[in-house]
Amino acid sequence: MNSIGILCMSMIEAVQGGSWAGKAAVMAVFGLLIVVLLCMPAHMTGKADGAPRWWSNVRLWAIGIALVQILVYAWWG
Amino acid sequence: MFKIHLTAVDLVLVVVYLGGVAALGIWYSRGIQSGKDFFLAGKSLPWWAAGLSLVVSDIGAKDMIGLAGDSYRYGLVMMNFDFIGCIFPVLVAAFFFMPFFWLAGVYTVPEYLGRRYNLGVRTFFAVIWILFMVGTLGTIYVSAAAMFEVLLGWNFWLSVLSTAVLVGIYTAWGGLRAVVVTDSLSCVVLIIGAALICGLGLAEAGGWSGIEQAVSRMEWTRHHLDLLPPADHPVFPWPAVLLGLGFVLGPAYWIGNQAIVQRTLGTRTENEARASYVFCAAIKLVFPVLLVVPGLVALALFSSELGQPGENWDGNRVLPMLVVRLLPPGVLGLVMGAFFAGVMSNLDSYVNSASTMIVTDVYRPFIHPEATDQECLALGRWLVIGLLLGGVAISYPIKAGFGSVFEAFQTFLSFFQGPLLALLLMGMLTRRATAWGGVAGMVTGVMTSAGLNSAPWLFGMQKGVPYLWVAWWSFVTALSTVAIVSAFTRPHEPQRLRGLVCWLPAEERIQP
Repeated sequence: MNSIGILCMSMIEAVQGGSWAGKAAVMAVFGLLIVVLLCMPAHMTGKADGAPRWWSNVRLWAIGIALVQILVYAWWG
Repeated sequence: MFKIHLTAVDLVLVVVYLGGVAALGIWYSRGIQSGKDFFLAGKSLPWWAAGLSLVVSDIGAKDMIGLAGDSYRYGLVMMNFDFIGCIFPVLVAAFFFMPFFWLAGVYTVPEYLGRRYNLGVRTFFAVIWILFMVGTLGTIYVSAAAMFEVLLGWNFWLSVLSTAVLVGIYTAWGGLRAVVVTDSLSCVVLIIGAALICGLGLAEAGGWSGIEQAVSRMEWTRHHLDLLPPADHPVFPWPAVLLGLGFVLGPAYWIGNQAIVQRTLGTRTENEARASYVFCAAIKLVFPVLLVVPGLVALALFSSELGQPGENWDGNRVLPMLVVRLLPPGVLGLVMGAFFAGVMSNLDSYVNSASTMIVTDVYRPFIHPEATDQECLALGRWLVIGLLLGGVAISYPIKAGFGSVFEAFQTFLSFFQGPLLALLLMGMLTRRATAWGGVAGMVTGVMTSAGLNSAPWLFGMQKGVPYLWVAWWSFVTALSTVAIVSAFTRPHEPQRLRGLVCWLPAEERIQP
């Protein structure tokens, strides 16, 4: 268990960088979420009953929120 | 410490707000006739009300005060608790988890785990959550009393008892519907109050550039303006923030916490369940600014009085000092209302959810399996009263060691968050996860948390492990164990898993 712990921590230390790496990683996570939302089948986004108007499209709002998060991490701090 | 002198306008605003909440709660208590009405609001909640309620079930008065102190101490990094630790998991939960909970027709998260794995897993997590919630009730009372003493000059018992009575009036009769409706009003008041503190504080500090200049002049605030501190930060290294908070603690809280999930289970349709979570994420975009910036304002304006945080430094003084120094008469009433809103919405959510879990996961399976719906409704109401009184009873002993007790509850819960998320993920994403896999994952995950907390040398580490790392490794261990043990044990029949696993939709939608 001791050697597994040392191995895991050394793997993490190997990929650590400055805070720029953290911001890039978080932006990548939200970017991936946007891709997943775009590729999601209609029945999983509430569109199965017909095309909703843009303002009631839950998927569109979720993508917008994820985009705002990418901008926040890109611009702030 | 500080004393606030309320003007007549402030007092009128506070009284109108409290009276309005009580009246609204009582009005929406009408027509509660069944357990489904009481525990799930009769599945009648609109998405916007559930979304507003989600926000204030998460953010209470103690979070407002605590976050101001923490952002004074650590800086912008605290925003991650609402950004990567909330918005990311909430969006994931909106599309991957909430619709399945809703379609499964369950009342509680442990009930889902029971259907997916077995009664042992269900009972284990139900008991853990009930213990945590009861303990949390005591801490909410104590933080409310501390706040009311500073802001209104009330003594401990007056604060605790008046809070219990006010919340009890509508929660015991109206159940989830009254809770969500009053929470919606509370959320609006909370946003207005927090925005006033933030806006007036920024104006006084010379805007964001004024804060940047003031912070950069101090020696101990090197990483205060880093949203994600470097990997060698002693408390919040960015890999731990991303993995521990964003991938484990955040999702476990927003997917596995009954006090959060329950309002979404009460929405009218599967799509409204989804929409309530997305709406919550949209509101949460502004909360990091509203809650964290005040701490930085205090740093810029009052660092000579508040000092540099050390071992016995009290972060709970930061927000009251801002309120006393910055807010003009007339505005104070609104901010008082926001504090009341935070306390009441936190308290009613935990009481309502604890009552639901005791009835659904303990009383029905173990004590009275043949209980009628009316018996469960009556028990649910009595439990709300009992839980409120129980919280009052334990609040006094908790008061003596509040800081350490609150920390102990949080540490206690963090032992179980990683394993809970692992079981939920494996249970929903794969039909291959077995009952034995679930039990083994739960045990090894909790043991990993306990080991990392109490014996870090076992894992090759010399000093204490940051709790974000504990959450991550307990999650990884539990997930791996579920996968390995499930590979060698027999899964449930596909028919039993219908509606519980993503890839096995229910043939007919189950209604509770």
